[in-house]
Amino acid sequence: MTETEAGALGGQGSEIGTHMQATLTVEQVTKHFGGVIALHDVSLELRDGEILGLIGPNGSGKTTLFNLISGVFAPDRGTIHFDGRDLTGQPPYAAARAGIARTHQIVQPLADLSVRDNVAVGACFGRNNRPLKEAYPVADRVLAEVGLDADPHLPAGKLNLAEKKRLELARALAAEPKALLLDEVLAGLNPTEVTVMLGVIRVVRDRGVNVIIVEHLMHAIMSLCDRLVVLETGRVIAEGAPTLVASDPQVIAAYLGDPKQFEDL
Amino acid sequence: MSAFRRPAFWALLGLIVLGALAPLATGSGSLRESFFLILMFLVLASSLNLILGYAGYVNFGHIVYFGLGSYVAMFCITRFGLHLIPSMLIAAVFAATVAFLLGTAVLRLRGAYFAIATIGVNEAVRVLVGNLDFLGGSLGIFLNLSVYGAYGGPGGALIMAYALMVILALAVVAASFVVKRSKFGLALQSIRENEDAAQTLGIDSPHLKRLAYALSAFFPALAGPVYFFKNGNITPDAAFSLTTSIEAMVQLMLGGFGTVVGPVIGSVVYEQLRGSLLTSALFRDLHVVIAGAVLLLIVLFATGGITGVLRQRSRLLWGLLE
Repeated sequence: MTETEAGALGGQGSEIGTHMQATLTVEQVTKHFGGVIALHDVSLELRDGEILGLIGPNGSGKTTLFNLISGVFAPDRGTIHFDGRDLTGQPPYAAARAGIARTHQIVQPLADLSVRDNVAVGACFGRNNRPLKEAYPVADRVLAEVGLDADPHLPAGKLNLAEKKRLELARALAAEPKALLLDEVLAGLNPTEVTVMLGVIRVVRDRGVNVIIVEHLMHAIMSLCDRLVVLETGRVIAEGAPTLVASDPQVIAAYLGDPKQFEDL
Repeated sequence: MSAFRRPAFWALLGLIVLGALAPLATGSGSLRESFFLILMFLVLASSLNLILGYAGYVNFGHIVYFGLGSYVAMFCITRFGLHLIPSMLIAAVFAATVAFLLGTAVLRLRGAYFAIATIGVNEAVRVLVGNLDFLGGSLGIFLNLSVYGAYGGPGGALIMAYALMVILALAVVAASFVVKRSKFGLALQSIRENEDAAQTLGIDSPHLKRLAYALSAFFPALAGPVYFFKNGNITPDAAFSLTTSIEAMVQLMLGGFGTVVGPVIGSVVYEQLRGSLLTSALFRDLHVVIAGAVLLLIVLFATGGITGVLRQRSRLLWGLLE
């Protein structure tokens, strides 16, 4: 990086600092995988008390962006700040400790551990770094909240997919995060389960947790999100209130393809 | 949730003490010898369990810390005239420190790559030690018979070695229990199940892995000195024997990795099996082959070993056999 570039970035950094409502600030991140540009110059901010929807076609970089924010990958360029801390290039456990919790699109249960242990791990090693003794009560409370308290001693590997999705959410919630990254938690759920899950997400937001949600279920996104960011082939192509974004011709062309989909809404 | 309040904890320790007292009560020297070996393998298999069973890192070269510790202690005894017990402690701290530093590097590898690296480390250390003149080169270190004078003669030294091995077995089982029921243990098991997910949940896996690795190196470095002290001499081939390392792993897998009782059951059953194989004319030279076959069968058909099979049978056993 040249000196002028560094100066320019520094300038933008301080400018962003004046937006006090932003708890998570992603600044012009770029990520390549070999020759593939997964993300190009993507900026995004998550403000206090909001649910931000991240949408875009498959392969547009949504999960990669989550992976950068949660520290699974380091960005090639750009910075990630959270709650006044620079998390750029920090390992995943640093992001978790800072108060960012996430779920995985492809569920990642700790299969041989019990459901309760799985959730206790979240409480133990999340933002509050709780001792084991405090972690289990937190786990029990969260399990009841997401409706997974039927058999907490079952090995997590024996849950069905919908339950594993809820376990992902429970583990993330047990971390008592300040920001929650939800990667397709609704996919594969039936309509009743979706309604329950949406309720849980709203309750979590009302408790003061800021949420970014990646989701393909449009009606859920439209009703849940305060703001949308649309990614296409690694670039942000639109940003704003759900109704505005949904009527953006560029978004319709790139992502939705069929404008009629929104006539019902 | 504390380990000390669980009946299984005290029951298992009590059983080990009772078993260990049997040869002393009967006064049978051969029974004591075979129990000594069982207890030593119990220490090896149980300590291996901390890194392999809890954290899921398959370590073929666990014996390197047994050998290193033994050499350090034998050196302390012969060169500085130290008593066995302080020599053991120096050896264990040395081995754990080496493991901590080495772990920082080798634990970056996962799966088969880590397993192969551990074999490489063991072989490298064996060759290195065999070429160090102050450690006796390939001939190793001999204890002068007069050394045992301080322990009440060879007879007293034998009893002391046995008592020490019993204490070590109890210590490693107690440590396994405590770790398993701790936050540290929960983190290690999360790493075993899915290291990437564990990291996302906030677990500093590089650091916790090397702590587990250092702890798993601590106990064999205590047991090795007792074994070679009793033996009277140590050679690189005996101290860094890959066969012994794999036998400890077979015992762990046979009993059931990741559980506290697994390595205890495994070491007892395996030593019984080996005893009968060694005395049969047909299988005398084949016991390692059979150990390999047992390992293969377990990995293919009963990953959880004896404990795993028992635990699957009933919910009650699942809770009891942890």
